[in-house]
Amino acid sequence: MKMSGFYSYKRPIALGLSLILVSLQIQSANAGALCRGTIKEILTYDTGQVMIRPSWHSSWMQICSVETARDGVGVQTCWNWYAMASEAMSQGDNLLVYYASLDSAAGCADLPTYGASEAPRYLRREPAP
Amino acid sequence: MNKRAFEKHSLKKSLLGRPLFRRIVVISILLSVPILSGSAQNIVACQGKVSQALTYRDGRVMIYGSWRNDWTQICNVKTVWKDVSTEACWNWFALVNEAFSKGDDILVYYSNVPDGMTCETLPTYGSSLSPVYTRRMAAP
Repeated sequence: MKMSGFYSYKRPIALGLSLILVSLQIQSANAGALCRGTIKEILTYDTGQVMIRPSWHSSWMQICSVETARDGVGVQTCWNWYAMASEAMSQGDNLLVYYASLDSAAGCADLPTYGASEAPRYLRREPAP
Repeated sequence: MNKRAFEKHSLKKSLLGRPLFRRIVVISILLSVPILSGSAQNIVACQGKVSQALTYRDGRVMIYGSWRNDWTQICNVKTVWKDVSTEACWNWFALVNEAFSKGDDILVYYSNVPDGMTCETLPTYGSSLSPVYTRRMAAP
């Protein structure tokens, strides 16, 4: 079968170019960074919102809700995050929270708080420093 | 219509009968209702240690807080209690127990405490008030 001109050489080039463009866009839009520190306090509202007061920020950050999904974070995940944050608090361990909007950890102290808090990508626990 | 009835009628017609005046009266009454009812409810935050925690067969979760020295219900893990969901209740139970284990303070925040009532005199058992949030404090 004979291929037309477009299919023979233009299509792979176009595909390659678009892949490069898409990957560049993903890289620039989702740099992401980890905020690392201990958990000073933790609270839960009667409506299910779970908030933490971490060492990298002076205020309260909502991480999720145990009652309703919030920004793609399900209630099952929220239970897990609560348990992890609470255990880390009990043991004095570090909690690492990944935020997609950050370019570097320098922005951790200025993240939005309370209801405006960004939903983390993941939570990670590591041994006390 | 006698004179008295006529005066009453004309007064009603001259004041309340006017749409603008009537509207102002209605709006004033509506606005004063939440202000008046709100004045009887205060924000009270009770902080201290939990020396005991218990859960009844029907799901009621109670704590024995150092600020009250009696049993206070905070929620119910089986049914919605005074607007506190079962999900929040499970979480509060975990939070209270972890604070208990570590000897950390907890802070129970109320927004519906009647005038004159303090942490030491909060209603107990089934009459307990529903908290807005439960917070585990940093170890001193």
